[in-house]
Amino acid sequence: MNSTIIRFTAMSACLDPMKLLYVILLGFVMPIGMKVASMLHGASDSQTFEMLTGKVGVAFVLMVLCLGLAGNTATQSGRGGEYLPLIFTRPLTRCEYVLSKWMTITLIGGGFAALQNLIIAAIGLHFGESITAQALFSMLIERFMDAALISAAMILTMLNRNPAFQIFAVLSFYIWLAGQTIPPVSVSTGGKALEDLSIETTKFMLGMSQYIADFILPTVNVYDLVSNPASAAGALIAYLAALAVYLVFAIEVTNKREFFYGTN
Amino acid sequence: MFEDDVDAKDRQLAVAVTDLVKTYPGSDVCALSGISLSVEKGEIFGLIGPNGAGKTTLIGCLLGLLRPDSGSIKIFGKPADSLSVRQITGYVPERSDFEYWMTARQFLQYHHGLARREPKDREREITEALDAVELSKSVWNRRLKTYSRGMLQRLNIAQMLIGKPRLALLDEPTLGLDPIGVTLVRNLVKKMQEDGMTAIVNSHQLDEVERVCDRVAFIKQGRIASVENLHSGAVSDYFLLVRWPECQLNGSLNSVVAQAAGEAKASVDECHHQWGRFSVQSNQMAVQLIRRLVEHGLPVEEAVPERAKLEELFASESKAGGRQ
Repeated sequence: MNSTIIRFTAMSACLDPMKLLYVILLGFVMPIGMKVASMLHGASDSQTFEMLTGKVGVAFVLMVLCLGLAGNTATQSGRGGEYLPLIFTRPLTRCEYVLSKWMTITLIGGGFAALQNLIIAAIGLHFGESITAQALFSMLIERFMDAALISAAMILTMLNRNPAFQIFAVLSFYIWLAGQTIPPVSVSTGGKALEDLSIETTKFMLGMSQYIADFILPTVNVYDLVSNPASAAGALIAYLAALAVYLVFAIEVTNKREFFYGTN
Repeated sequence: MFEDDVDAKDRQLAVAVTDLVKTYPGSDVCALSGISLSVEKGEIFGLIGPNGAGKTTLIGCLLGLLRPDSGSIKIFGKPADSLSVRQITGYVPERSDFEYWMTARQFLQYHHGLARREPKDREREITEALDAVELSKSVWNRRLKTYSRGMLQRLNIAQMLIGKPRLALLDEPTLGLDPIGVTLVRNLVKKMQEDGMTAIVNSHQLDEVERVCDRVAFIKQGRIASVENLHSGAVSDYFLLVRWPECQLNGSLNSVVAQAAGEAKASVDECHHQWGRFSVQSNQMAVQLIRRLVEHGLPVEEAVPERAKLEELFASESKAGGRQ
């Protein structure tokens, strides 16, 4: 890990007031408002709330604050205008660079999401909801684990110049995101072709989203893992495998790539 | 045993490049076609040549950022991409980009950290670097998005200095600078040399290359067309235009001029009634020539050095052979 990369990546993420405003509004104001409203009216939490306070919330924070930082203008889309070649003239290994970026982005995304979860848990407690320390701890750890996986995938996508890979990665992410936001479809419209087609498409999308969630962005339920390790061992292995693959590939593609001005 | 000898020899050189070949992926044109050169420690070495000749690609290879297809590069006897080499190498890119939210100080703090300099020396070394490039103190804490092109270029040079390199690679270091900035770069390079640093300067500013470099390589179509020594070789020659009034030597003018030139070891390029054009190899030779001309009865009124030969070399090498 390189402390200079960590420090300046964090500064870069947190010094844009517009980005911070988006994060505060969608990451804090909205879910906190939803939580307070549901507590006051005795309603259960909405799907949107679950989304904003879970993995999607982490992805949102990372996309707003850190997407550009993951590659640090490494895409070499034009002649000149790149920053990385100068960085790589310094005594710094590519592995060190990738891991430092990953660590920082994980801490930023996980930190914001954990803080949000903590505030929401405090609101719940205030209104009489019961939450155990183990559940709270598990929730916070989960946010950091989500951030670790998503940031590794982001870094790999931003540093790998292969367009086919980038299209695959971005498409997968959006299908996954769509799957999180579309409500489950189980009704039939009784023979209306266009509506049937729409429902079938949605089902297909949800199925795809589930595959992606299982294989590309697997989730570990930390509470289950702590209370009954055997039941969540498979999910943990899938998670660790995906994380390792992303990081190893990110280091590998960065090592193999020539970063220089105008090499496109 | 041989390897040991080679390493020992390489260590005497700042840069040793042997048979370097580089082709970019997806291109069938060789960007570098077997370049070999050596740069001695403490030397200021220039790279000149037309656009697309391979100069920047060569610098990319020297920095270990581009991987050659074949050939070898040794920097102070070590491979170009080793971390220990990067610790002592500084680079001024031609087209650098900046994180515009940073201030000049933050930008240099970043590079100070990346260069693994001692944290306790940070503020002092940053101040030294900013002073060296004569960036006004009032802008040190201003965000880079408010900087002009020239100010950014000065900062670009400061980031090279911040790592206290032993080898500096400068790619068009005067780009975007005003005449004061150009003079500053010239003085900086000279100061670097006095401090024992080695530098490779890639520039289209031939007069600047001629003023600061010890030797210069003309690169064309990925090859070194010629390497000239600017202190003792043909390129350091320049023409001296000498004027004199009508005199009593008209009958023997040519022979007198030729004799004076011969005594000064200069050569006569042209000789007319009221002026002559001589090729001289140094200022001392020019002084000697003028003295001899006066001693032989020519009342010299004016002596003016003419345009630099590097410019002529550029023109002639560019024309020679045309484009492949």
